[in-house]
Amino acid sequence: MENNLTLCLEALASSGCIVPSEMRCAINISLKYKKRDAGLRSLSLWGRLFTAGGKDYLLAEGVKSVKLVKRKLVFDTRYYFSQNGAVWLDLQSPTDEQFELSKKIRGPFRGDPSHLYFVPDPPPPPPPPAPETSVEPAFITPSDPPAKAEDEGSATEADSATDAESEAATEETETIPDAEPQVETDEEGPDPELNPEGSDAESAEPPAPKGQDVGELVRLASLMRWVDEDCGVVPIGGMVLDAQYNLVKNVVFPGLEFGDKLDSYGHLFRGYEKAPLSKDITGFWSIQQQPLTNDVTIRSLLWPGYHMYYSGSTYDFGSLYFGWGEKNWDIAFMIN
Amino acid sequence: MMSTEEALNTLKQSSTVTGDSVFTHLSELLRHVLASKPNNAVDVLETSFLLKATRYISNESNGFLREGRDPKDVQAVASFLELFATKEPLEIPEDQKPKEKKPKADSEGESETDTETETETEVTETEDAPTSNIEVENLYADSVFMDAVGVGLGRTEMLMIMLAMKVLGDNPSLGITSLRFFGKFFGTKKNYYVFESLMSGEGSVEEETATEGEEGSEGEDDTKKKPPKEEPLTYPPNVKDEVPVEENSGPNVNVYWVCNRLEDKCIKLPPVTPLQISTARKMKKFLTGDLEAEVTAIPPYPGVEKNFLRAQIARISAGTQLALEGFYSAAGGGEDEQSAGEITASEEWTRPPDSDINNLSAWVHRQLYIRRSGRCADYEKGEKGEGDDESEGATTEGETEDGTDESSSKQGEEEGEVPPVAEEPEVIPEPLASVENDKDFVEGVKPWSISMSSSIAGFKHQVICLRSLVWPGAFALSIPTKFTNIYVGFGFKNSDYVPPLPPPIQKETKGEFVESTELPPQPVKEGGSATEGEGTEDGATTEGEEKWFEPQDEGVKLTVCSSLEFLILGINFFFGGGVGLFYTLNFNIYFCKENEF
Repeated sequence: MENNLTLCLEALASSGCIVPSEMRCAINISLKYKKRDAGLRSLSLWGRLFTAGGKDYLLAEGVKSVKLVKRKLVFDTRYYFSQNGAVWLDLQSPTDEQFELSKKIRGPFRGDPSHLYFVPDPPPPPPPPAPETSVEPAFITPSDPPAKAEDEGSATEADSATDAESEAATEETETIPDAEPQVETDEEGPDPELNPEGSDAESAEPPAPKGQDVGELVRLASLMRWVDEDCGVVPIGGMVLDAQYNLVKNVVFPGLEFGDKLDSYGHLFRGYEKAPLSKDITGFWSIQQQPLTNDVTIRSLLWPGYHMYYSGSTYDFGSLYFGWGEKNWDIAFMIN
Repeated sequence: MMSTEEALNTLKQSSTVTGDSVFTHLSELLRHVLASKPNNAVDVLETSFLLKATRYISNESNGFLREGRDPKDVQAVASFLELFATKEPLEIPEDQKPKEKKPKADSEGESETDTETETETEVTETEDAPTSNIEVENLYADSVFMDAVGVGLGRTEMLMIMLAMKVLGDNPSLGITSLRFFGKFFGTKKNYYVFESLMSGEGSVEEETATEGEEGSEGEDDTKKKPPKEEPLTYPPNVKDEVPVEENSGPNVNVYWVCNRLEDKCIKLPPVTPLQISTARKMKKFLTGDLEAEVTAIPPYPGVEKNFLRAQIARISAGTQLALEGFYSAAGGGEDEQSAGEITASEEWTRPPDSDINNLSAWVHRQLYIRRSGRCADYEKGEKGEGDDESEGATTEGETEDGTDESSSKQGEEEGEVPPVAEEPEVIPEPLASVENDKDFVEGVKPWSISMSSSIAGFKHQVICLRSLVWPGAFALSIPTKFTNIYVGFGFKNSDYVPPLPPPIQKETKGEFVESTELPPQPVKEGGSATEGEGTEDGATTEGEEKWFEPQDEGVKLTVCSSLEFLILGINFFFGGGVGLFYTLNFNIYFCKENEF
């Protein structure tokens, strides 16, 4: 499952996916710490979110397991974010309600984890529910989220601090103590508000337009889930089920026969082989193949900033999201 | 019973399909089980399937991959290698050009080494117009700082871009005086690399003749010949571009070159017309990567994709090209239209410290604001410049940093009104307006977000990067010597698309349909003339005849009237239906947009 970070960043650099040098330096180590601390099978860089405030989010996605249960893939994925590349904090997987709420938020991310977005309630006659995609992926929500998150957070910091000392890395030692208190407080701040369910906001100002507040971190996690559902592109054949029905990276992946066709790629989180990109609405994807090298770059036009690469010579692949976190709602007008 | 040998032979019989045999497969399986030592080996013996499925697929057997024998591939390699070759200076009639080529080639070629960075910038900065050397930004140094803040295209691609720029700049017949990498546009099928250049006056004239035979001049020839050819095809016939084009000023002050792959020859983009800009403002479209592709959009786009690309470039550069305050000065305090356009670099300018750059007030717009008309400078309107609705509607949205609000409200406002709306006076920022005054993107959110290369407070050497929220992908960053801009994106503005309103409903006719009391002209009966002649002979019968004829006449009158009414009704229905259909179509599209996909 895990992307090869170096290859991925190298291949997608020409799409504008570039991690700032300082963060790049930090994530080499910090991602591996986080992976060990969180007990994940894999943890890979997921993308970078530009924010209006200027403090961008680096996002990472960890996988505990992907299992085939009753002919459906069940993902146990965890989301993490970092604002300096060194300290990774947990994002709670959004509940379905939070997820639906977050989808309604427009506008850029603010870069402040404690920021609250106000989502007004739908007008009294509730509109007919949006047609649900039948291939809704099943997510396992973590059973013990908040307490564990705290634990892990502190554990990471302790760990990274000790290691930084032992390594006597000059810059990193500076990074961590500096960033620690700040990010930590940020994390503490929003926590009570993470699950607002409207209770606070409504009781405080009854005359105000009814609605609910959604924390930026909830929106962040929802974004990751959303992009995963809409994109999550993997070449078909690149993953296989092992004997225990776990979906694992195919170590003997022989490459794609038709790398320049959308049929060869599937939505991992929508059923993988059963959901090839070619079944999406025509025009949602841009696929380009380089002559000679046969490297393929796939760009989502629905989510500008989602880029996926597949190497025609080494058959590795990976995807990143480098964007402002907004879906392209106007796509119907923009495709040819 | 079978002997051991026989048994072995049977087991070793290889399959005609895969070439595998039971023997090798089982031994492979055993080896695998022993090597991986699973706890419950027998339960996971399905490994056998996996092994079978995976073991025999090898790269060699995969005959579908193109292995570089494709003529396209060969071409790509050849032109790629050309980038790295040092070329003999081209033979050119003028003797002045080769001389200036030399120093440029040196400085640029060596800029790939780290050590050159400082001197290189010195060179480019000291070079002035009189020497007419090609000014090139030090892209290598820039790319390092772009990496630091996480923008740009990565080191390798940047190097390729530099080589491509060298090839472009080395062609003296093009008359380029300064060259800059503008950015990369992602298309759905191919991408565009765009270079921004300033041309010397005589160069552009000369190039038509000088480069006639060369490949590079293809685009040039096209642009010269195209407009008359295209217009009948793509122009909506009723839309005339009444706003005069600004030649070599305003949005056309720079000349842009574009290529799909860096190895390819660069093609010059035609100058942009005001109508193209104002139409581009009303639409939102992905680029395809084919310069000659048709741009299908509503309202119809006056031109092909290269015109659209050029218009987007003009919009992007007007909106997002930033400079540090004080580096440029706008000439001509008089602010009259001619001189206001001229922006010159100040001679004595020292870069302010990082702490000062770290806010929006330190940055100014480098390019002129493009007005609603699609021009930077004002012009005298014709007798009725706002005559046609198409171009008038185009003027709703200024190229400012405001997001969707203005345009949508303006559109909404227009809904009821058909006659040319008294436009709210356009606020035209003066040249080099401060970025701080840009309108908020969303309420409380500035259109630019500032990020630093390091999140550590008190880090000494910072690179500061401004990211545009309005044009995702547009970046401006401060580098130790000055500043630079780059665009990497899809080339559309981050504002909601507002479909243009359908044309106004046709008016009901004002006149009432009054039943005509006049009799229709009597049909001249050929046969009847004889009988009438008879009738007129004796006066007594005329009375009776009239009475007898009257009801018949009324019947004729009625049928005439009703058929007329039916005709009008029919026409009404026809037009009404058409308009209604248009509305439903539009609203369908609109709802499509509102719903999720």
